[in-house]
Amino acid sequence: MDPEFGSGCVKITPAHDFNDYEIGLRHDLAMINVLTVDASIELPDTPYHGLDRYAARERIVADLEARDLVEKIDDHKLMVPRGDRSHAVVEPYLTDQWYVKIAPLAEPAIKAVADGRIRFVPENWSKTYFEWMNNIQDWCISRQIWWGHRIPAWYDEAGNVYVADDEAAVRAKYKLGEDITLRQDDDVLDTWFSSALWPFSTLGWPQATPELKTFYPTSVLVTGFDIIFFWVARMIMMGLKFMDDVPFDEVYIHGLVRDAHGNKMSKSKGNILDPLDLIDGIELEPLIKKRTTGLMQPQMAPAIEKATRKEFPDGIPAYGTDALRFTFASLATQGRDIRFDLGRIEGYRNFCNKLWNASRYVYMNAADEDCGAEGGEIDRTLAERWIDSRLQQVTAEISESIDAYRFDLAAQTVYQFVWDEYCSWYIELSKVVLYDETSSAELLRGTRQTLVRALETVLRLLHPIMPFITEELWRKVAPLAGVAGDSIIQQPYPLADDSLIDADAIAEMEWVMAVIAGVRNIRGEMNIAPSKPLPVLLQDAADRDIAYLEHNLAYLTQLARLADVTVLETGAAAPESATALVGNMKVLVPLGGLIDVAAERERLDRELDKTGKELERSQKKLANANFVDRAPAEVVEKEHARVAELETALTNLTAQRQRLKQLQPDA
Amino acid sequence: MSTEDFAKTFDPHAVEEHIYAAWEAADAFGPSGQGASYCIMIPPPNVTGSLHMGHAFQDTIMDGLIRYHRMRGDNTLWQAGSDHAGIATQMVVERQLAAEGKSRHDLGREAFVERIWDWKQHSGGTITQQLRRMGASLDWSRERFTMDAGLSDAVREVFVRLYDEGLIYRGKRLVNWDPVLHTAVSDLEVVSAEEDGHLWHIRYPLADGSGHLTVATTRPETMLGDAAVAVHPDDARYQHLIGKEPTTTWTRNSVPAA
Repeated sequence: MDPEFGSGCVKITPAHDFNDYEIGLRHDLAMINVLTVDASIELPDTPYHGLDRYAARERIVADLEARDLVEKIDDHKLMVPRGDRSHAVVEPYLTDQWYVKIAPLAEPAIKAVADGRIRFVPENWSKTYFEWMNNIQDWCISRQIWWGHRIPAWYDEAGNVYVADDEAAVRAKYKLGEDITLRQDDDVLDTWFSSALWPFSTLGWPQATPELKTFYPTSVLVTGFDIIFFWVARMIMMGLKFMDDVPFDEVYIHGLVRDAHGNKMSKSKGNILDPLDLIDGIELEPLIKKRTTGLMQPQMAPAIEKATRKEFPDGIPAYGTDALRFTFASLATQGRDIRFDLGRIEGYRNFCNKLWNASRYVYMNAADEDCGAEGGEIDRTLAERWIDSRLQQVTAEISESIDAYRFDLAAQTVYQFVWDEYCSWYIELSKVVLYDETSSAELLRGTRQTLVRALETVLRLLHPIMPFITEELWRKVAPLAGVAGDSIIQQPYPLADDSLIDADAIAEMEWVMAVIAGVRNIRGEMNIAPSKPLPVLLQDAADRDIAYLEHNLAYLTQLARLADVTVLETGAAAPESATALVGNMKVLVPLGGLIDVAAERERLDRELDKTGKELERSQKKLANANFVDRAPAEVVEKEHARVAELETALTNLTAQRQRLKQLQPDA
Repeated sequence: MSTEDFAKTFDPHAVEEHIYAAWEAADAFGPSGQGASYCIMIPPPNVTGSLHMGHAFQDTIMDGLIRYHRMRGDNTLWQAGSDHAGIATQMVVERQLAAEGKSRHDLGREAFVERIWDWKQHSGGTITQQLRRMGASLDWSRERFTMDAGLSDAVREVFVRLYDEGLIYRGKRLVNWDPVLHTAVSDLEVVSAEEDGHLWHIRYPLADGSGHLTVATTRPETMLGDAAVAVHPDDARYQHLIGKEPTTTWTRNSVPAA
């Protein structure tokens, strides 16, 4: 006991306090029960008999005060245990219950995890498991309700207990004649008792079914950390006891889904999101109604309504199931908390749209055309060899991620491939061939074939995360790729073929992308219209650069909108240009005559002035102790981020202004 | 170009439900009977429940694994089922009865349990419909319920065997007791939260009349059940009192200070 707490002197009430109960057992103290099942006082020889516990408290304190036995009363915050269903304050209470003697079951269950027959993912959850299992107490399995598995125990009039499947079995087993009256126990079993048998009872146990033989032990259990003890541990104990084997090889423990601010979602906080509302959408008013109806504390309704109006002024749009699933997958890190915010699901709805639009482009260009499904010579450019190589790499990465339960990484990999590589690059590159009237039949066939095959593969890669859109698109795309079948669901998951990885193609394509990206950046920085063809000079170009240039002139010209490309001789002087670096080679865009220097100067000066003023304002705000101390941390953090952003913008603008000055010294 | 059957924009609502129905009609979710076994048991949702974000997240992961392994050629089973959720379900039906001005005791045990089965028949399938909306490829043909005949057999078998081996016993112990529901509840069904209360400092007179001990408690009403008063053995303030008998003046017994 803690001498610092209260008076340093405590009462021991073994029948009404868990700690005192243990002390009572150790010191053989009397267990004096003073409560009924309703938590009223049951002491017929006292004036408190029949009073509810709280009424009795008042009377007792009043009586003590009358005798001057109350020294003082302090306000005190304490942890109050309430039933999650009834919300009544739960009492430690002495009753007759049924128990499982747990130690003999726990020992093999500890061993199964210790020796690796069951593996926790992430691994550190095994520590939690061991901690619980090493401190395990006998399991109280009886409940005094009516709905559940009634305990198969019968009593005779003398109170002897008999246990068997049913009354007839009891009479047979214990040789009891019909003259003996038997009464079944009224209690039912804890719901977790049947849950503990779930991995084998569902497969037909106690019958020796083919399903048990085929599927037990199961492969993996996917669950939250809050029920490692209540469910996971008990399944392991029961599985080992009755099946003589572990119930699952792996346990994947995932985090808890929280709201965008990291708060636990709960009815009382009014921050619950219903997955079906994210799929189907919900207007603001029904959402408010849903969140404020049936509250335990109705006085919270106005605050909940206000917060909901602020966060969802237009309600929640319909995102569809695939976007929701992709969001969950992308959030499946190994952390304890999963923060769900609408920005992400919106991003992944856009991803669905991107995939849809790309598929539509492919379909429009491939349906009713020769895609090589029937054979025929094909020609492949660098773009085809590159996208096929990347597809193999991405396929391998995704399988590795899923095998390691890293759906977040799998989602990220497939997202980047589809968006950045297949859509932003490959589809654009394909247009160079498809829209060129001089393209050969072989080249057209090869391009179309790669477009449809890569897309068909991507759909299969994505299917486990986004089942609906991939099925819908696959049914349209698969025939073009020469793949037969009714549904993507039974199609083979893509396997990476390392022999298709062409390292040279990857290196060359990276060069092409770097040159195009360099020119595009210059356009952006110098505010040059995307439609304006630019002349480009290459300085310090090595032989490899020149070879790449010759192979890919068409791609460069079209995707970077080039007027012409000139390779500068070594040592040749270059005019004033904007520069992008690709390896050691410089990509130069001469700016003379390209931009309206006066207009650009004016624009930059205007931007510089505006950005400078905004920066000053933000810095002043942050220098103000009043603001920093009083504003919510989030707001202050936002202001800091804004300063950093403005500083970067200012640096960039200054550099651009500088460049303009180099171009035309009087600018 | 053939554009007539390729909508310009993606409309999830136009595709999701009919695709799921087609999968189910084609019996696409059952094990193939070929390849290595791959099986996940769904954590059985409460039959009273509806899908929350935690389920939706977890089901996405499980369905992702199941679809991945099915496509890998494994003999794949995602076992479907739900939990009878003792107290939760009983309370749902008790509330319905209360709305009719009745209690479960008016019906009697057998009729009440019958009524719960009725309720399950008509209203117990919410979450399984919602799982379908999530695209979950559970093998519905093998759907189980923790109170169905087969699982009840398994429960009785386990109970009897553990009892016969001496691993189940009956005993008087301190449990979490819900005084409204009149049942023991597990730690998981108890939510502890900080609330405002008081700490009463109460004088316990010593039986020999030589003074008193001051005891601090948050639950003065349970003094009626006191068996002892304890101080820290090294607490100098109380050395002289160890072994004396404080008394709660109106109760039957004095209690030893230890």
